[in-house]
Amino acid sequence: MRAGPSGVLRALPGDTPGGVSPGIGGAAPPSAALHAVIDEFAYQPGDRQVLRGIDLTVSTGELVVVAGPSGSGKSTLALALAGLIPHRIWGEFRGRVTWQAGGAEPVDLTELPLHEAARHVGITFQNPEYQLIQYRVDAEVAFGPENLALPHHEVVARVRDALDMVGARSLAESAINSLSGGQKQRVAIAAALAMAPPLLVLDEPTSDLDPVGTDEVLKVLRQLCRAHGRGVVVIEHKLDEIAPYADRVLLMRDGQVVVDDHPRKAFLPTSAWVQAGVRPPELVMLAEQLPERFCGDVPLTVDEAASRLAASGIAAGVGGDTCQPRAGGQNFPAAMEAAGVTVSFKGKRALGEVSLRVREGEWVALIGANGSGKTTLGSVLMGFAAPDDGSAWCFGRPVEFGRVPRQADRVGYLFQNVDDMLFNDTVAAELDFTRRHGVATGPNAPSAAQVATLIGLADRTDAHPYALSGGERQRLALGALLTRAPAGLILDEPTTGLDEAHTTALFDLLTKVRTDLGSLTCLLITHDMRLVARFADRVVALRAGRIVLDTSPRQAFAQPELLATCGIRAPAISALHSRLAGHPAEVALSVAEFVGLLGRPAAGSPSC
Amino acid sequence: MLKTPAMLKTFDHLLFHTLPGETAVAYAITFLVPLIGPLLFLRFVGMKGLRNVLSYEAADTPIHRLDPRLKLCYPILIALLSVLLGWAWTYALFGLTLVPWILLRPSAIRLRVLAVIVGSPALLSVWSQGLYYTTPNDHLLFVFPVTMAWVGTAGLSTAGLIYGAHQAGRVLVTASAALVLVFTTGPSDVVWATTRLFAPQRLGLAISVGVRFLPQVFERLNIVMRAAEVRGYDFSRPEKWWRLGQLWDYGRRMTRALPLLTVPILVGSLRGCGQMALVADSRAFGVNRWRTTYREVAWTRNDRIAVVAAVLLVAGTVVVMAMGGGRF
Repeated sequence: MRAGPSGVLRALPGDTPGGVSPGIGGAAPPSAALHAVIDEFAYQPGDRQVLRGIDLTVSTGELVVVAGPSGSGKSTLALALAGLIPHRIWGEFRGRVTWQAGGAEPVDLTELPLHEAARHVGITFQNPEYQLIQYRVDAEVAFGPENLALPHHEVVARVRDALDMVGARSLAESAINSLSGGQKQRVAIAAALAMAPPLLVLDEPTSDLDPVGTDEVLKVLRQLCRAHGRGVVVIEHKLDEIAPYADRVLLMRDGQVVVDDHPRKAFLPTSAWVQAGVRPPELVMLAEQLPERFCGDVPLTVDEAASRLAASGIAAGVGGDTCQPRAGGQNFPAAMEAAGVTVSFKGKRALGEVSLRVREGEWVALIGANGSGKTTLGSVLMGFAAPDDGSAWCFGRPVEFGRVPRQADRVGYLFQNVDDMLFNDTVAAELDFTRRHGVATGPNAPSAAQVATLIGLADRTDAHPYALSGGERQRLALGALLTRAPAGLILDEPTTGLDEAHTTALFDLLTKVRTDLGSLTCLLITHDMRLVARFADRVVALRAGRIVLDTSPRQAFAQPELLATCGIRAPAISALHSRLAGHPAEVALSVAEFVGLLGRPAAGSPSC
Repeated sequence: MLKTPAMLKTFDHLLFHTLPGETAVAYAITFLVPLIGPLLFLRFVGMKGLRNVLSYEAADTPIHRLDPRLKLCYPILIALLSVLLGWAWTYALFGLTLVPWILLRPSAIRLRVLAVIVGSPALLSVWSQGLYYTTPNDHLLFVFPVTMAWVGTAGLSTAGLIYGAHQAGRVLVTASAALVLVFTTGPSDVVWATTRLFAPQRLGLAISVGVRFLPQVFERLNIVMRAAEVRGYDFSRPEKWWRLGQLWDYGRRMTRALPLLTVPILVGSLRGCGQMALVADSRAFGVNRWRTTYREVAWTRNDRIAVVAAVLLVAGTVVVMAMGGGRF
């Protein structure tokens, strides 16, 4: 329906007047396309142009991935595609975003009321938390159709179909607060789908999800394209995971689309992506380094890469325990220790008799599915949560529940959302917070000025923390912890939402701190397996509150079946190594390492 | 050694006929009585108990099965009737509000907690009116000495206590009726009933968002407090609260923490509100004056009985008022 001059609603092609109730899950919508021509957009007149020179067309049935470094304009593009710019998100906008269905007249989304635009292009935001505004799942999905005053049977049909399309029918009567992150994301998608838009824009829909949860959501999106004919635009950092599902991949840089191609072509040369601060898929990097083995083809899945390498007779060259062992603090005393720790919440067991010893100087990655108990274990070690049974120790002293400020002399805790850690109006005040408010620190504690230099913010001490970029705020929060000179850090999902450049910068900083202090113990809680492969000395996998794996990353990633039961997928290159070598004891952790392990093709093996 | 009657006489003299004794009694009446409610609360309820008792508990009773709209109207109707009725009839009405509780058959623990929650405000109502409600020619049960002149009342008044008892009746009636709603109606049903009964859509959305996000605000406060603790800020309570220095330090720390904690919570909430507004707009919120409904509640025999009971209650109130039992 469309609002007429008198405010009376008229029927749109997607609506169902007259009591006929096909819902939204029936036939695919007619062929249609979104066309965005954006000459420029800036949030304030005279400010940096966040978008410029965009000329983009997305058709129904297509899955388009938008990648780019932080600040490149991806989220702003999403807002523009959904018709939120310039009337809902104000700024200086020059351009048109039009929707054309079949041979009909194009409709300018920027001129439509938002609810009308939402029926052509739906949008879901990065954090599903604030886009779910009802108490129950079915009420959330029904909210839009009810507002449109659709007949009861049509509302029911839309709720049913939207939940079916995202595989969340069983959640219909659940309270939103009781859902996991992945379930919330599905409900957010369903709520947008209930408005029956032929095209959906999603801003980082998998940022908080474990690898298996990520895969589930991506499969839902592919299903929306293939089976239901919807167009999907996804902004995503996890390119290894999403590349196999994509029809097109876009790279944005400085507000412009600099690459727009099929995923088998878009990532080449990978140097352009690395320079832009974006991590290209590992398998693409492998194919680029071994053009003669892949005959110029670009694999997007482990299956494709394995079949190509196996067909060339390469697999025989891989295997054995030729990987170099990583450095670790094998002979050092325990820095953090949990002994038989059991924790329950409302009768539900979060941790069951978990025992873990992290030695001084070790960097241990704690991995597992959402809700497996990772953060709970970190909370017990920090003193946030009291175990029902068992004990926790940090640097030789027992962890006392509720005595966090004293514990913080020895261990720091970096929260997932660093904005929760920033309380002051300048960088200098943030770094001086401990001295002004905290309990006394040891003589080795660095000064605020020293920390500002260490984190690269010495020239921005007068800046407001919220005026810093995401990566800078992350460094500031870490610097604030370092003012207490902790010997250990617990990092809870520190790279969520960060691009490759910022992730590297953060871990380079940690490495520098490790070098400067002589030793730094890290317990890294993460879903990012490439990060684990690069930085962890040891991997501990949790499943339903119990440790099921405690070994080196090489050995951990050589056990894909076990990892799958923990909601984890090994990095693509490790999975490929494992596949080719027939489950070796250890696998390569990087493309360079894998390439180094490959022998020459066997004589007589087929060539391109 | 003094004999018992002599002891009592001395005791009576010291407490009620000397300035220090009268002052002590006056201080006890003024400051210790109002502590009874909180102490009972801490002893028998606590924050965890409050969360439990003020939460919906699923069960299959006639009250649970009632249309949520009726249950939402119930405390409003009872509160209105209690305002119209004289105090004796208000207590009769309180007796009637116990009927749904009989049908619910709550556990002894929950009953104890409910008694504290309902009884404490009633006690405070009697106490406060006893101190501050005065009439000409008032009889004072206890006259405050000159040392208590600063509190602004002459003493504990009989008329005030009686008036407080009247008011307490209204507190009891309203609390008893409101807790039936809380106890037997899920949050989603309350939201649904509110949006269906009270036409303004914005109010409905506000209630819905409030119910949805209130637990999250507390969770977020918890995270931000943890973040401050990690950076050295100490929220721990003094181990020996009678040490004034520690108590003062604790109060100072908590007071200084308020603006610190407010910043991230406020910034996060404002960002979230912006996004929520976009979502609500994009889902056509407020486009039509009337919304249709996904959920349809069937009208049952129970509902009809409840409506008949409500009509009888109103009719009874009219009769009582006609007989002079009302306040107006």
